[in-house]
Amino acid sequence: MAHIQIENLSITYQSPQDGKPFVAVDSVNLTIDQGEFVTIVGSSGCGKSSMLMAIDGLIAKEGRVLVNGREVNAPGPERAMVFQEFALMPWRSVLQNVLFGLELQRWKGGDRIKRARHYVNLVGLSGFEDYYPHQLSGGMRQRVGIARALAVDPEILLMDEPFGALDAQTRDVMGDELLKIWDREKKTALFVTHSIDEAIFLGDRVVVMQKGPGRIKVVIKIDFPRPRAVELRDEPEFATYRRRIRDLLSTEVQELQRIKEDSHG
Amino acid sequence: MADSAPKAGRDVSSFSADSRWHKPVVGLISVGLFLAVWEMAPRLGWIDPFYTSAPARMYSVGLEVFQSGELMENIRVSLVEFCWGFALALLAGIPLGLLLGTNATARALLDPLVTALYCMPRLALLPVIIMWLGIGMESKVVVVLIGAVLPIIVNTMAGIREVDPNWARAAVSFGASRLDVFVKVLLPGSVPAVLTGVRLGLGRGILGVVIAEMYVSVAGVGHLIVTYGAAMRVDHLVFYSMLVSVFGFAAVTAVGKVEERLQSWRGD
Repeated sequence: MAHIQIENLSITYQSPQDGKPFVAVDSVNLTIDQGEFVTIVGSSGCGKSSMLMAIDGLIAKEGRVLVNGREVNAPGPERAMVFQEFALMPWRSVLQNVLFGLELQRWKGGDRIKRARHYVNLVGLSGFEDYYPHQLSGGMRQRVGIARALAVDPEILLMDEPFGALDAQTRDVMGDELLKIWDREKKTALFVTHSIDEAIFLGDRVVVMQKGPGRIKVVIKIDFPRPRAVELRDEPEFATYRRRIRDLLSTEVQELQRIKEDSHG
Repeated sequence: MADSAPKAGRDVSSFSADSRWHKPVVGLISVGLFLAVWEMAPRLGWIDPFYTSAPARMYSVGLEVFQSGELMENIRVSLVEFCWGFALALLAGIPLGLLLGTNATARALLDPLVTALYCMPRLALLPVIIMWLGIGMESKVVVVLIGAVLPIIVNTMAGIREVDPNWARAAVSFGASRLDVFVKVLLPGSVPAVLTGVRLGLGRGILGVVIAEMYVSVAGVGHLIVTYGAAMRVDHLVFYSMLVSVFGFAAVTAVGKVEERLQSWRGD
């Protein structure tokens, strides 16, 4: 059953320099099933983050986003976001940060603490409840970000390059752990990344986006069984997927290069 | 867990145990050295103590004015003036700063005025203020107020505006209303900047009360300073000047300490 339905989604920004409209996302259509893990990959500026923001209801859009068949235009408790820059409140401890969404959504006091502790444990931060974000490494901070999103019990997890600020090693570990958590929690996941490997490893489907303006180039189904292990990245099929997506993205770079040269001379 | 976990709660910025003591110890040495030179110079006949006084004389002056009741009475007068003025500055400055930080119209309207007032030599207005309010407590309260309120307004406003927009966006994503964003993000996020304003305001407020008392008044530490100055009683003049300086130092350092503790996450 379609959990999220995106119909003709377009996003236009006003350019801050000359005030001219700039099309970031152009007529995107996409249907995501209940419990599916969909990754969106593309070079920077292809509108993949904007798309996620629009689905969360944080920015203005044209077209429609339907969740469970109902149109959404603002953030709602059935969707929760994990941000690239973590967006943790530095004056709140780990536990208080995880409590943040629960407080805003008016969960009952006793329940709140129990849930927050549960998700702090789930992301592997037990013992760090009273630490502050500036005392944690990047990977640990994003664990807090993930726990905060899971704690409000959303149906849909929206993740905007959540591991983009982490080093490669930590990134792989976090991806692996994210899948384990996702297996348990049965959420629908939409994950934006610019890492091709991450997109293949995590996704049931990979949405490859092109830029200028942002459109879906192709959607690739990833036929690896779950649960998936880190070693998957060494499989020949993995390399095939990787090459295919890289070719799709690099032709785009070449095309843009050509257009640029044409317009200059 | 593959992430490197910090071993203890201690911040990485203090790399060794003794660095915590380094600054105060060096500070104490410099003050001690200054006092020693000040004490020895007249004794060795380098300078005439009539002009410079000496630390040992501070002690006898302190004892004398304490026993006569002069000290406590005048400190009380100055402190009451200062506290009223500073309390009013907080009461007016923080809400006004919050308003200017959150409301673009208010900012457009009042920002030029605030900036102009910030740059104005406020003490030049002293004669006018005294004309309006007389030579009693009220005029000093107002001088403290206008001295302290501006840094509080300006820093509170800057604090609100410098709150990371990502925090507000995360809050909205989790269902925050505008009021929620203000209470749960903007207010706590601007606390360090508000404290910076309070610290700067403290210094200006203390200076304000003393100078206003020096200008024209019947009591207060500033009044004593100018009276002893006119009588060429250098020991008393220096004693009261140092009293103001020590009080200001203590107040500013205390707020600075709180600020420092909150500062650890700022710009992180």
